Amino acid sequence: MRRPSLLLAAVLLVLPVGPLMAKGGYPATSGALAAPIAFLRQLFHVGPAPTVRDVEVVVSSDSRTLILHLSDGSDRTLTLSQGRLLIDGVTSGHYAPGGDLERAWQGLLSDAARLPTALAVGRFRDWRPDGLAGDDASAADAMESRLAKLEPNPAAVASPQAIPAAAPGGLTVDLNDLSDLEHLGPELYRVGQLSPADLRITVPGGQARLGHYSLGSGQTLDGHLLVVRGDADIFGTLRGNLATVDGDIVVHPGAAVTGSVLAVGGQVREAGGDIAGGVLSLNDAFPGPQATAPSIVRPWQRVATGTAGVLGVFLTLTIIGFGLVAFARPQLEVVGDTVAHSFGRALLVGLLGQVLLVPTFGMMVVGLALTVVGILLVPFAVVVYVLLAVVAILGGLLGAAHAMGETWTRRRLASGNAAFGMNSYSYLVIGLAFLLALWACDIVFGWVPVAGSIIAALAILVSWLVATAGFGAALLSRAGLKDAFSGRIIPPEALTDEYLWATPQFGVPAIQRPASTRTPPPRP
Amino acid sequence: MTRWAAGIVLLVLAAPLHGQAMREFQASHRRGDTRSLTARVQFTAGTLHLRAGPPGDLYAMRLGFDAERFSPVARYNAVDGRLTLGTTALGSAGFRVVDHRQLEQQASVLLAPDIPLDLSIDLGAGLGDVDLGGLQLTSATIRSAASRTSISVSAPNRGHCTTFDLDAGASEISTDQLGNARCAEIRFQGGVGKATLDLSGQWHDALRVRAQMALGELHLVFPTDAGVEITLDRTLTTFRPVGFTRQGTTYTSANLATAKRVIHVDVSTAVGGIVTEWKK
Repeated sequence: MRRPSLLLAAVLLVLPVGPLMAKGGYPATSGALAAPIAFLRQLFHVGPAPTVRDVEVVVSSDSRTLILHLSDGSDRTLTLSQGRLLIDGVTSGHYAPGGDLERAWQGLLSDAARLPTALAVGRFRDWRPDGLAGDDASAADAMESRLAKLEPNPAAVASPQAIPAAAPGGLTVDLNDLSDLEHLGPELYRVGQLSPADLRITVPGGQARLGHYSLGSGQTLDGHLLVVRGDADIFGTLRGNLATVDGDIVVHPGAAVTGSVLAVGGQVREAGGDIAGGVLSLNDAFPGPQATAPSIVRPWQRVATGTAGVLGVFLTLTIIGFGLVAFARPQLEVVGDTVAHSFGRALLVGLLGQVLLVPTFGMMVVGLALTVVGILLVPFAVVVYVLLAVVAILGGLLGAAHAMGETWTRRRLASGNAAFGMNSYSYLVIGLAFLLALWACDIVFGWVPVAGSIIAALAILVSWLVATAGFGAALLSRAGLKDAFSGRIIPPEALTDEYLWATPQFGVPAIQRPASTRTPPPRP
Repeated sequence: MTRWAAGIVLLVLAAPLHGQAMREFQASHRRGDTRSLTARVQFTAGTLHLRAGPPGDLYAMRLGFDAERFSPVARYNAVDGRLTLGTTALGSAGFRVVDHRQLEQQASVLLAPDIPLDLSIDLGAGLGDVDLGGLQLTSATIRSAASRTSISVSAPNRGHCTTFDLDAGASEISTDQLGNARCAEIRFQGGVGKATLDLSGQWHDALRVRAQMALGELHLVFPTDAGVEITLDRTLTTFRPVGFTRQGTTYTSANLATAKRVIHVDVSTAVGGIVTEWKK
């Protein structure tokens, strides 16, 4: 007698929901009613079973839980925890911790966490752990019976359908020549990025399909075929080329493809069918130059990228410069002084050095090659020459930056202002900052017509001038080893530049620079 | 401590982010009714393996390539029998090897063994491992820009080959049993580097070799049963002939008049050395 009353109650609960479902506007039932409704539906097999909207996996040290979010708003949970199987929080069996069932469940959950919902549901339905016995087997049966009833949310599955043609000027995928991957690859990449709702593709001389596509054994399809997000199973005859995006191509026995096939993000399986043309597969779509639709670089992105570049160069040069200051400060200072006091000569020598750099290299190689013994030295000589050139150019540039920083600091001190620091490290940082300031200006104002180009040209010119002068100074001073640097007209004994910068206007006699160090001691 | 930490953070932030998207590409084609094949393999950077494939297949290629810089190429025109395989640089700015990881690219190419084949291989930077044994060569051209290339002909050529051209820019080329190619003429042009031309193998009658080397060492290997005549045009080149008699600029082996097989070698070198070796 109780069964009819229960049935009546269920009908009363379900009936109000029916019209909503028929309209396709089935709202997610929430709150306290959701679970009872789902329970009653399941109990009396009334209405369609709720589908899985989303999958959630929760794994902790002592439990592995699968949470299924259903389309009716309710949740289902299956948990293995501390030897107990919990289905919707209720103990429904037992298992051996660390045993086969737990391992199989763990593997299933790991897969599910990586798969789209629809595929994960399929994996749940097919889950059949082997080799279980005792409690594990009983618990697995209970879990399988629950999982086998799951249905994926239809909205999440790409149901087979034709893809409408794109509007004029829209996405066109020309499958006439599948070997033209340079152009076809980026196009197919774009196809793979589009959501099903946005798929509008024109295939000249063919058609495009979404989801799995099968050509029957008695069927013949004329024209090219593009299958997106699904496998193409060919049993019949396809007179044209075939391409898939995120799907396999299977050409079954008796099937024929008169053209070529291309699987992007899939495989081609020649299962006995005939493919007259080429068989191509690409394990993933690849972004080429045309793949990213009109790349719009926003101003802030350009500035950010440029700033990062300048900062990177600044940091690299600073680190190298600090290394030079730490280990070769006298030499760096000599190069810097050469730039400061003999800029013209350093620049000329740098220019000459640049011009002669390559011919000298060639002459050296040929000269060594002329002798039987010398030819063995060519590889070493090449490496040494290149290293010396790099050291001279880089060291010269850093020496020039050092000179710039020192000059600026001394001028500030001479005019009575506070200085950033009175040591080679700070000189170097200041000099490099000056050098890179122009590039920073280029980054910020480079977009301005005409002025931007001028700033860029100025930045290039100044950088080249400084590098050339530094290179020349490095040559003149023999990489800073020639203590009395070249270019000084006055004898080294009379060398002092303190009168230029450090002497106050009212006249304090300049002291001679100490021989051991060229950097004035830091201020107390 | 704080300064150190700040420094490390700055270094990490400043570290260049480099991405290399390696993709795998496979291509194959059945032989069908193809009568002859003109194949060009172009591989700009990486390692290339090339062999004869199984009968029935026109070609098969497996390619691991850097998708950020290259696009795979597998183009076959059944009308004129032209096949192009390999990679092409993306964009229009040309190609530069700027990272050793670009050399991680791999290409494995198998070509039809039973079709007359006009083969052309262009190698950029990297390694080349080419075995032409078992192919039906009608002519072959191998250009190597800056690679280390090993070319062998492990089995006699099944076809009639007219010319075998080797062009080495700044490369190291070594050949093995080049005579098996059975080409009427072998032409070698070397820029800078080292080259070994092993002319042994199963070939008949006469073989003509023309070699030009700008700067480097040329190693010539002759089969002992062959009569050899070397005509030398050298500038600053050391030449150490073993088993040859000199007549002006011509060097002849003792068995030149009696040997069943004869090799005529014209060598022109600028700077470097020429070494000869006999091989049984």
